Amino acid sequence: MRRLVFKLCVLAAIAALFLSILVWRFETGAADFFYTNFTKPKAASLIVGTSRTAQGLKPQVLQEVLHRKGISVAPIHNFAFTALHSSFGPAYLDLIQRKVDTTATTDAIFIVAVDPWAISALSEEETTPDTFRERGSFVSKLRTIDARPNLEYIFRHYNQPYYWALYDSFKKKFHLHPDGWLEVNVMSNAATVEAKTKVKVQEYAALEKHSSLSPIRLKSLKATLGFLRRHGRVYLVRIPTSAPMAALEQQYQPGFDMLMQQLSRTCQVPYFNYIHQAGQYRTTDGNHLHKSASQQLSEILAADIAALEQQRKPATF
Amino acid sequence: MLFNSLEFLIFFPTVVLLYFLLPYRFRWVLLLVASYVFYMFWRAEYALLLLLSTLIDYGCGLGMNRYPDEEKQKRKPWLYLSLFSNLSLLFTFKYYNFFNTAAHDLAQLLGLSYAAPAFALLLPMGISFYTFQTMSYSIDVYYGRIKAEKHLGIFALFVTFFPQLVAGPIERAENLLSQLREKHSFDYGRIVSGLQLMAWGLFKKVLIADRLALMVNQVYNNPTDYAGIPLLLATFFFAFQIYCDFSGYTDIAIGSAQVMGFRLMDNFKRPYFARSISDFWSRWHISLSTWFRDYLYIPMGGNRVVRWRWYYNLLFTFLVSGLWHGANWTFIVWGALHGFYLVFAQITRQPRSRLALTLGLDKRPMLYGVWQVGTTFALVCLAWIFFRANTIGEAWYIVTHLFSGLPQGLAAIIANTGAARARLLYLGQPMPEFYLALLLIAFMEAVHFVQRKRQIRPLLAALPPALRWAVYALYLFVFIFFGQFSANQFIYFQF
Repeated sequence: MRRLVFKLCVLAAIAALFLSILVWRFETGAADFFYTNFTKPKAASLIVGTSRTAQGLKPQVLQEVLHRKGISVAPIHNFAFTALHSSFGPAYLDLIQRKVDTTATTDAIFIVAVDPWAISALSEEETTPDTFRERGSFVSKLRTIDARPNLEYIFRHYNQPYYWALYDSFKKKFHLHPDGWLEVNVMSNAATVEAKTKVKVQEYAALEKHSSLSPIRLKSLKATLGFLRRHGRVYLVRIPTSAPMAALEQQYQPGFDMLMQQLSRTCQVPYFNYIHQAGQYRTTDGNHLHKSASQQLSEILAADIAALEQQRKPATF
Repeated sequence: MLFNSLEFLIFFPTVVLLYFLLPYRFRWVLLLVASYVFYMFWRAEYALLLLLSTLIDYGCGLGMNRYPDEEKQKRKPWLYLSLFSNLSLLFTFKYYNFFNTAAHDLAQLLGLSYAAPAFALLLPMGISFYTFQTMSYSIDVYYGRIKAEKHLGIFALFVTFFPQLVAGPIERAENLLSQLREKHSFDYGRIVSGLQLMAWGLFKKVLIADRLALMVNQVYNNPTDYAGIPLLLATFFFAFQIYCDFSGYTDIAIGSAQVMGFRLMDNFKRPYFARSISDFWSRWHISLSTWFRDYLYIPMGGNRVVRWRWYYNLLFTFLVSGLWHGANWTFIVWGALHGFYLVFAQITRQPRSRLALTLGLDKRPMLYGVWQVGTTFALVCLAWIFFRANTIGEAWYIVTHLFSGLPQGLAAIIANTGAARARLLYLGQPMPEFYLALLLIAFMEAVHFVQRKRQIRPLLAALPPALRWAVYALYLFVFIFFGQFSANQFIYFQF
C-alpha cells in the first residue's frame, strides 16, 4: 500500500504544480472577467450593475474627481458583472450585502446603475428566483467573496476550460483592474463598431420579444437601495449607450425612466439619467462604453455627484 | 454525488482506504453506509425509496425461497408482488404524468371528458437502474437460477452498491451478490488498473462529452434556428457526446469497483465500430440490452416462433426499451426505430447479401467493412435525433432539414461572412473548442481502433517508468487545462 500511496502523492504533486500555475494566472487579473472582484476585501463604497457598469464606470476617476472637488469618499470598488449574472434580484442583493464593509461608518458612497434589462425577466421561464438566469452562476452560489487566492471561485465557478486562462489573447483584450473596472481593448474603428452595434441591437431585439419587467427584480432593486442607504450615500445612475440601443430600450420599456424617478423619490436617492446623451459617447458595440468614454462619463458623474453634495452641504461662513 | 465532482475526489479515496483497513466482516457495513451517503448527496429523502425497494425484494426473495423448484407455482405471488411494487414505483415517479397526458390528449381527440391530477414529483435518480436490478433478482430467484439472499445487509448492498447505483451497469445477482461476500485483498496491479480505467472514463466525460454538450445543446435547444450543416454536426456530436458520457460513467463505475476488488460487467464494446444494428446492440449498453433479451425478449419466445411473431417480439422489446429511457414520445420513437431497423435487416438479409456479391464487396472485405460501419453509424445517428430532441415536432424538423441549404451553408462558412463560421460550424462556441472536440474524438477512436487487437492498460504498464510517468503527467495537464468542468451532470442519471 505504501508504494501506491507514494505514487499517488507524486501524481498529486504534479497536479498541484499545474494548479499553482493556474492560480497564478488568475492572480495576474489577466485570466477572467470577474475573479479579482472576489479576492479583494469587503469594500466601503461600491458600484453595482451589469456589464455596462463594469466597463463604463472607473472607480479611480470617480474617486480622484470627488476628492478634487472636496468630497471625501471611502475607496470605491466596481462590483458589477453582466446582465446574465448581476441583474437585480435576491442573489445579487445577497452578494452585495456580503461585499459591503458595514463597519466603515463614514464617506461610503454607492452607485447603482440601472437599465431595463437589469430588472427584467429575459425569458418566460424566469418567474421566480429559482428560475432566474443567475441561479446557476457564482452570483448565487459563491460563498467566499474576499479570499486571495479564491480557490472556490477558480475551481467551482469558473465556467470555461482552464486553458483559456493561459491564453494571451484574453490579456490583450481584457484587463480587470484591482478596483473592479473592466478595461476592454477590442478593435473599435467606426466600421467595426457599427457592425457590432447592428448585431448587438438585433440580439437585444430578439431578447425583447421574450422579456418583461420583473416585479421580483424591481422589489430587489428597491431592497438593494434600502440596504445601501443604511451604509452610505446612494446614487441611481443610467449609463448612456449608442442611439439605436437607447431607441430599442425606449421601445421596450417606454416608462422605465418614470419608474426610476418614482423609485428615486420613494427611496430618497438621486437619479442621474444619462441615457438622453445616447450617441454622444463612444461605445465598443453599441451597448458598452469605450474606455475613453468610461473616463469621460466617470468624470461627469463625479462632477454631478460633487455638485449635488455641495448643494446639500449646509452653508458655512 | 457525481463521479466528476470534488466531493467524490474526497469520498472515494476515504472509502477505499477504510475498506482495506477495516476487518473483512465490517466491510459490507462500510460499503452500505457509503452507498447511502453517495445517493443521499443528491436527495436524502429519496433514499427511502431505495430502502423500500430493498425491503420488498428482500422479503419477496425469502418468500420464494420457502418453496422448492418443483413448487414454482407457489412462488408466483411473491414474484408478482416484487414486479408489481417495482413497476408501481417506476410508474408513479416516471410514467404517470406521461400516460396521464396521453390519456387526456386521446380523450380530447375522441371528444370525451377526462381529468386526472398531474403529480409534481421529482424523478428519483437511477430509479430505472435499481428497479431493473432488483426485478432481475426476483425473476432469477423465481426460476431457481439463484438462491435468495438471506443477509439483509448484503442484499441492501447489492441494490445500492455505489459505483453502479445510479447509472449501471445493471448487474445480475448471480455476478454481484457472490462477490459481496468475497474477501478482497489489496492488490497493487488491480488497483492501478482500476484507477487507470477511472481516469479514461473521466477523460471521456470531462474532455469530450461535456465539451460536445455545449455545442449540441446550442442547436438542439433551438433547432428551428438552424438548417443543414449545424444540424448534421450537432447530431454527429451528440452521437459521441452520449457515448462518452455514458461509457465514461461506466468506466468510472467499473474502475472504482475494480479498485475494491469487484468485477462489474462490461457495458460498451466500441459501439461505433458495429457493422450492423444487431451488432450495435451487442456493443451498446450491454447490461440493459441483455436484460431485455433475458427477461423480456426470450420469455416472449425470442426468435423461436413464427416469423411475424419474431418481428413483433423485436419491435415490442425495443419499444419498451425506448420507454425505459424516458417518459416521452421521442424515446418511444427512438426505440421503435431501432426495432424497425432490426426487423428490416432480417427481411432484407438475403437481397442485401446478393447485392454485396453482385457488387463484389465480398472480395473487398475492408471496403465492405467500412461501408457497413458507416451505414450503421448513420442509422444510429438518425435514431439519436429522436433521442436528443426535446419534442417529436423538433425531431421531425431536424430530420427534414438535415440537408437543407447545404451549398449555401458551405459557401457562408468558406466566405466567413459575419459570424457565419461561429454559428454554422462552431455551433456558438469559440473556434478552438470546435477543433479540440474533433481532435479528442479522433484520439478516442484511435484508441478504440488499437483496442480491437491489444489492450491499452497492459501496454501502458509495459512502458519504461519515465515514459509512463510522462504519460501520466501529460494526462493530468490535458485533464486540468482542457477539461470542460461546467456541464457536469451525466445524461443517464435522468433515466
